[in-house]
Amino acid sequence: MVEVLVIMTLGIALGALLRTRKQLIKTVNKTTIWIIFILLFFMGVTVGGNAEIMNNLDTIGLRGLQLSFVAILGSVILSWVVYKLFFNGNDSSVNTIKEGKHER
Amino acid sequence: MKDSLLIVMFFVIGLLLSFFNLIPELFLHKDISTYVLYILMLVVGISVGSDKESLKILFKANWKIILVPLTVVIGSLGATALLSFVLHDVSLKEAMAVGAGFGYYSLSSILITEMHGETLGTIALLSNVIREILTLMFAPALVFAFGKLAPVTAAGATAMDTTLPIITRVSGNQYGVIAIFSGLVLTLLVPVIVTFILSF
Repeated sequence: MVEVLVIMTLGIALGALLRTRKQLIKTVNKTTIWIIFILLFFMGVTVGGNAEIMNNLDTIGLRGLQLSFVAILGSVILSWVVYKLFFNGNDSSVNTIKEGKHER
Repeated sequence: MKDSLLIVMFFVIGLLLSFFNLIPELFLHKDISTYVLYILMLVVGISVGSDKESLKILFKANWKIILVPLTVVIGSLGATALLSFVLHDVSLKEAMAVGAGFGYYSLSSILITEMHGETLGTIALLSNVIREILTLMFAPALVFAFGKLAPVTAAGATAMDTTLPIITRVSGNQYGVIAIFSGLVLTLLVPVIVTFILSF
């Protein structure tokens, strides 16, 4: 899967080069969500045809919930320490906020 | 949020169609998803590379802000590693790979499916979708219990887009920049760390 990292790096370089082509970038960003739809559809197809997964969906769902719960818990407990030690409720960062445009 | 639901819907439709044998043989070809994954990685890269504002934030970062994504990495991987000792059916490596999704469910689930198997890929999908949903639901409670940085770290990679509006609402606008920085760093780290963990 090193290919994945190489391709992403190429993409970043390509994105930096094509930065001024606003319309093209806009189109690319719009296609992202459709690529994700297609991939997740195919993943669903694979999973639906896998009897072992289909018979154990309850366990799989529970494991998913447990893992996300502890991952969040670990992150926020540690972030509480970092917040108390280094951020102390005040910080002087810039406030430039914009709506997200990437897709998960 | 709307997009997350749509994504899950596409997964469920695919799942149901194949479960009831309504999919033509052609669609079952495994290579298709590998190539589509490559296209996705290229597009994600282009999107990050062309995003001047976010990259500016990335390079202007001070040492304090770097602690935020680091917190997410250590907190998520550490906690999921600990959980794997309690669960008899999930190994250390598997639990950490799921934790390394940092909420980026589309990419992590596909990568894990390709590299390790469909069962763990499905757990990664559910787990990381749930991470986003829990963050959206409990962001105000997290600020109350763990301070203003908590929603940013709970959000993981999604802090730069899908959970950004709720973060700035509950923690304040000044946390927007921290959220974008942390989300961007984690987005880039997901494929690196997942690949690394599963290579063992």
